[in-house]
Amino acid sequence: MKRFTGLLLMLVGVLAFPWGAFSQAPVTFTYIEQQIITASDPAAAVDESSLIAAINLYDPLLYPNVEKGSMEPRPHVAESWTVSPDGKVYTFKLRRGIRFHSGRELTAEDVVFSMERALRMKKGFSWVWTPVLEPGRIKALDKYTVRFELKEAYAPFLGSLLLFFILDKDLVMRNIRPGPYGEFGDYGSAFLERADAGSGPYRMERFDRATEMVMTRFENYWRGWKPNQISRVSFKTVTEEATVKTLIKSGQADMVNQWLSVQGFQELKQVPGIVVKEDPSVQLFHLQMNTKKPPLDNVKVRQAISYAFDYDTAIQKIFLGATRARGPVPVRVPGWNPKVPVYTRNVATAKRLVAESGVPPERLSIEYAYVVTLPLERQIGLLLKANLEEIGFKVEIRGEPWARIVELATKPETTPHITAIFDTLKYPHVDSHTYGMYHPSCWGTFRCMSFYENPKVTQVLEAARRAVKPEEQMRLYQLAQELIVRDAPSIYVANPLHRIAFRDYVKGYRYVGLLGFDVAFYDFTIAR
Amino acid sequence: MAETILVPQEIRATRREELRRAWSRFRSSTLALVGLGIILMMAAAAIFAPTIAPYPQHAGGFVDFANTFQPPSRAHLFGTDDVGRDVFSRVLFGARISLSMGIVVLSIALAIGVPLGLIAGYWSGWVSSLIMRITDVFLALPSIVLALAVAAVLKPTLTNAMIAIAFTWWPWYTRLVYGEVLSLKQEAFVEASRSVGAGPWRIVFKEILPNTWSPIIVKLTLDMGFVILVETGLSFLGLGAQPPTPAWGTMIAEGRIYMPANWWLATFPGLAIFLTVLGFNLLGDGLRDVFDVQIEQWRGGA
Amino acid sequence: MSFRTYLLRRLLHIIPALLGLSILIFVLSRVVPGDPARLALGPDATQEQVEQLRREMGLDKPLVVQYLRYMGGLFRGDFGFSLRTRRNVAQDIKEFLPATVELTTVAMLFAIALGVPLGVLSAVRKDRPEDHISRILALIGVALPRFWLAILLQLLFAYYLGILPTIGRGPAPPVRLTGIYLLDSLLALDFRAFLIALKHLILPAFALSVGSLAQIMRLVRANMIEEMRRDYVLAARSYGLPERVVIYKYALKNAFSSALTVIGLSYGFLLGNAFLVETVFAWPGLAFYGVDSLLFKDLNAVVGVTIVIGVAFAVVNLLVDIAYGYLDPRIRYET
Repeated sequence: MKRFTGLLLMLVGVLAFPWGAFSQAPVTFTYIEQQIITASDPAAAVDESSLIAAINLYDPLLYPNVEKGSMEPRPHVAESWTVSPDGKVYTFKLRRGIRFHSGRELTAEDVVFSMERALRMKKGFSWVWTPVLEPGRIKALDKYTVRFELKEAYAPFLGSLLLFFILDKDLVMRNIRPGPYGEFGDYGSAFLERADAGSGPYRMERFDRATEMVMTRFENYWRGWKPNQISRVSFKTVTEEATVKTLIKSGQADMVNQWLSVQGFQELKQVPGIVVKEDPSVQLFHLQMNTKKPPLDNVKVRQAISYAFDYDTAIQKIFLGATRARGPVPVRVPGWNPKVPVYTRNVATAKRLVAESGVPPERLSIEYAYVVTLPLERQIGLLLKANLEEIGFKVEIRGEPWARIVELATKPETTPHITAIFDTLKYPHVDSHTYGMYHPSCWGTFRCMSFYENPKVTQVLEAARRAVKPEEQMRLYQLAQELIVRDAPSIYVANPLHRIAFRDYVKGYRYVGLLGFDVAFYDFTIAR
Repeated sequence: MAETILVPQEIRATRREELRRAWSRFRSSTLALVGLGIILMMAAAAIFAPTIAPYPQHAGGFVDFANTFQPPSRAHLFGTDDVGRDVFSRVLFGARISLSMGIVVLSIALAIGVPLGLIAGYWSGWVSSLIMRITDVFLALPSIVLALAVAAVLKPTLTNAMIAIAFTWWPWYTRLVYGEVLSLKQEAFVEASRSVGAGPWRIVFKEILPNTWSPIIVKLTLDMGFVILVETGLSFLGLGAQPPTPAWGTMIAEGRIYMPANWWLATFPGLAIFLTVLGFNLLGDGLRDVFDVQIEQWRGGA
Repeated sequence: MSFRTYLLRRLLHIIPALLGLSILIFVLSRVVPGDPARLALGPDATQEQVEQLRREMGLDKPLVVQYLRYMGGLFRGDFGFSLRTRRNVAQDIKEFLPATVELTTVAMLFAIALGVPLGVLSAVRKDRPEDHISRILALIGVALPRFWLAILLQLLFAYYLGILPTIGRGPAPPVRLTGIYLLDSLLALDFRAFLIALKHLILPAFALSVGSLAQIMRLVRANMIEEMRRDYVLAARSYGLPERVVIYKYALKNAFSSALTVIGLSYGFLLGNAFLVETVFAWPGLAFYGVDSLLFKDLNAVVGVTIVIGVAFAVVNLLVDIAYGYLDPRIRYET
C-alpha cells in the first residue's frame, strides 16, 4: 500500500512540474468550427467549414472588397477585366508571379482547367455557372489572359467568381484515380482529401475530416507576409457547445465559429479577454417547407403555417435580437423588395386557411428536422410545434447531424416536411437568395429543400439573369420575390445578427457578409 | 444414492418456508432496503407523475419563453430549461420513460430468451446447438454497441431504441435459463415426473421453469439498471427519444451545452439516472443474497 | 483436457460467432432504405451513372454474393468506402483504432491499479469503516452514467480548476509508430509529449474506468475474504509469517487470478462505454468515429467498426484466458 501511495505521489509531482516552460513549439492559432469540413476539394465546397478551408488554401479569381467592408468583387488573381457590351464576354488579365504550393506559376491554363473541372464535376457552386458556361467556352488567350464566353448575359456572374477557386492543373492531373469523370477519372478528388493543390496563403499540413485540419503558412505567398501574421492554424471540429466555450475561455482556442447558441455568446461576453463581435448579417434563417410532400404540397396549408408561427417570440426570446425576415432576400441586400408581403401571426386566419385547404385533420401531421448541434433550431422547433398544434397539426421534431441533413436534401422523398436552415448570401447578388433557392436547377442541395416549382417564377428568374440593364434586372428579381412569398415555400423568420467570438489579442477580423470570407486567417494578426 | 422425493404438498410447504426465511434475510440487509425504497420512490414518481408534477404540461412540447433558465427555486425545484419548462416535472415524467423502457425491453428479452433457453437446455441436438451458437453471435459484441448499430439503421425514436435494446438483450436470458435447465434436468423431481409419464413440454414448463425463477428475478432486477443506462446512453447520443420527449439522456444532451452557467439542466436528470440505477443494483444485490444465486453480471453493456 | 485443447476449443467457438456477427451486421446494414450508389454520387449524377456504380459496387448481385465479396475484401484489408470521410473504411479504422486502444487500456490499468488495492483493503478491514466506504464507492461506480460523470469531470477539472485539458488527445508526438501517443512519445524519448498525452488521458480514462474499477474491487474483496479463510493462510499465519507477506504473497495471488476472467469481460464493458465517453471528450478514437458514422448512417463504417470491436473483444478474452491458465495451472478446463 505504501509503495502504491509513493508511486501516486510521484505521478502527481511529475504532472505538476511546469514542463511547458521548456517548450519552444511554434504558436498555433486554433479556430473551432462546430460542423465538419464536408469537402476539402474547393470545387465541392458549399458550407461554411468547407469554404473556410478553400479560402485559406486556395485563391479565388476575384476577392470581396473586405478592405472597404463590402462584398463587391475586387481584383485578386485577376488583376483587371473587361466586359463586352452585350454582357456575354468577360476577359480577365491575370497577375504575374503567383506561385502554387508546388512552386509552379499560376497561369491561364490553370484557370481554364479549374473552371472546366468545376463544370464537369457538377458539385459545390457549379450550379451558378452551368446555365451559362460549359467546357470549351473558357479560353486561355495567352499565358496571363483568360476569356469567358457566356451563353447569355448573366447578372450574378462577376460576383460568383469570388467562389471560383483555382487549382494547380499539373498537380491534380498527376494524381487522378479511376472515377466517374471519364478521361479525368476522379478529377483528383481523392488526392485533394490528403493534400491541397492551391496557391493560397496556407498549405494543408494534415487533414482528418472528423477532427482537425492543420494549415501552415506558405512562405512564397504572392501577397507577402508581415510581422504578427499567423504562421500555423489548427482548424478543429468540435461539436459540443459546452466544450467550445470552455476551449475559448481557457485560451485553448483563439476564435470560435458563429454557430454557438445566443446564450453561449451572451455568456462569453462576460468573460474578460474575449471579444464577441456582432454584425448585422446578410443571412436568412428560414424554415423550408417541402412542397413536394403532402400536406405541404397544398399552398393553403403552407400559408396557414406561415400565419400560425409566432415571429415576435422567435426574434425577441430565441434570437435575442434580429431583424424580422421579409421574404427570402435578407433586407440589407441590394435588390431586396420592400413591398414583399409579410406573414404575421394570426391564428384565426391560419385556422381559416387550414379549413379552406380541404386537407382532413388526420393528414395534418408533419416532421420538423433541425441541426442537432444548434439548440436555437430546437427551440424554434418547439415553438413551431406549440404554434401548429394550436391549429390542429401534429408535429414531430427530429435532430440530425448537419452532414446528414445535406444528404437528406438530395431527394424530395427523404427531405423532411420542414427543415430549419441558416442561409448566408452565397455571392454578392440578390440572385443568390432568389434564383439560387427557387429555381428548380438547385434541387438536391440544402438551399432548396422546398423543391419549389412555379413556372411563372422560373421564367421571371431566368429573364432576370439574362437582363443586361440593371433597372430591368432589379425589377424582375423584385417581382420574383413577391411571387415566391405568396406561395409560402418557407417560413421566413429572421435575418439574425452574425456573432463570432475571439480572444482580444486577435486583430483584423472583419465581417463582410459573404460566407467564410470573414475567417481568412491571412487577415488576422496577433498582438500580445 | 438415497434422495428424498418430495410430494407436491411438501414442496409447497418448503417453498413457503424458504420464502419466509428469504424475507427475513432481505430485511436484515440495510442496503437492499434502501434500494427497494429508491425504486418504490421512482415507481411512484413514474406512476403519479401527472399528479405530482407541478407543471404536467411541461413534459411535452410546451414553451414559455418568458421563463427560461430560471435557477432552482420554490416554484421550480430543479429550475427551468431553455424554453421555460419546469425541469422537475420533466424529470418525473422521465422516470416513466426509463422505467417503462426497462420493463418492456426486459419483457421482450424474457419472452424470447426464456423459451429458447428451455428448449436448448432440455433437448439436445442441432436445434439447441444452433440456438446457443446464435447467442454467441449476439454476445460477441458489447450490448450497447450492438444496440447502437441496430438503432442506427432505424429512425431515431423511443420505440426503435427499445427494439434495438431488446434485440441485443434476450441472449443473456437464453444463456441463464440454459445453464439452469442443464443442472435441473438431472434432479430427482424431474426424473420422478418423467417416470410417471409426463410429456417433455409439461416437464419443461411445469417442473423446470418454476425452479428457474429466482436467478431470473435477480438478473431482471440488476438488468433494469443496465437497460436504463443503455437507454439513456442512446438518447444522449441522439439515437433515442426526440424532443420534446423528456427522456433523461436527451435532457442531459440538451442541457449540457448550457453548462456551467445553467448547471441544473444536465445535473438533475443525471442524478435521477444515477439514483434509479443504484436502487436496482442495491435491490438486485440484496435479492442475490436472499436467493443465494450465483449469476454472472459482467456484461459488456451500459 | 489440456490447456492447448481448451484454447483450440475456445477458438472454434469464437470464429463462428464472429462470422455470425459479420452476417448479422451486414444484413442489418443492407436492409436500410437508401441507395449507397446514389448517396456516393450525389444528387447530380444521372441514373446511368448510378446504375454503373451499382454494378461496380456489386449492389445488383444477390445479398449472399455481396456478403462474400465484402468478406473477401475484409481479408484483403478492404472495408468498403465511407460516405462520410470518402476514404476506405480500413484507412479510417487504422487511423482511429490506436486512440481507442490507448484509452481503454489505460482505463483498464486504472481500474486494476485502484480496484485491486481497494479490494484488498476492504477484505482485510472487513466490516470496518474502510470497508464500508470502499463498498459504497463501488456501488456508486457501477450506477454512475458514464457520460454524465464525464461531463461533471470536465466541468470540475477542466473548467473550474483548469488543471486538465477538456477534450482530445493533444498534439501528436513527432513520430507516429504505433499511433498510441504514450508509446510513441516514449519511444522517441520525448517526455514532454508523453506528459501532454498523459494529461489528456486522465479524465476520459478515469470516467471510463469507474465501472470496471468497482467490479474488480468487489470481486477481489470477495475472493480475498474467501482466501483468507483457507487453511494455507491459517497455516502461514501460525508459522509466524508476517501478515503483509500472507496477504500479498499468498492470498492476493490466488484472489487476483480468479478475478482475472472478469477483466476480460469487463473489457467489453469499457469498449461499449467508450462510445459515450469518447463522444463527450471528443476523443478521436474508433468509438467516436463509430458514433459519427452511426448518426450519419454511414453503413460501411458502421459494419467495419462493429466487426473490429467484436474481434477486439474476442481477442482480449482469449488473452485473459491464456494469462489465467499461466497464473493458475490448477484449473481444469471444461467447456
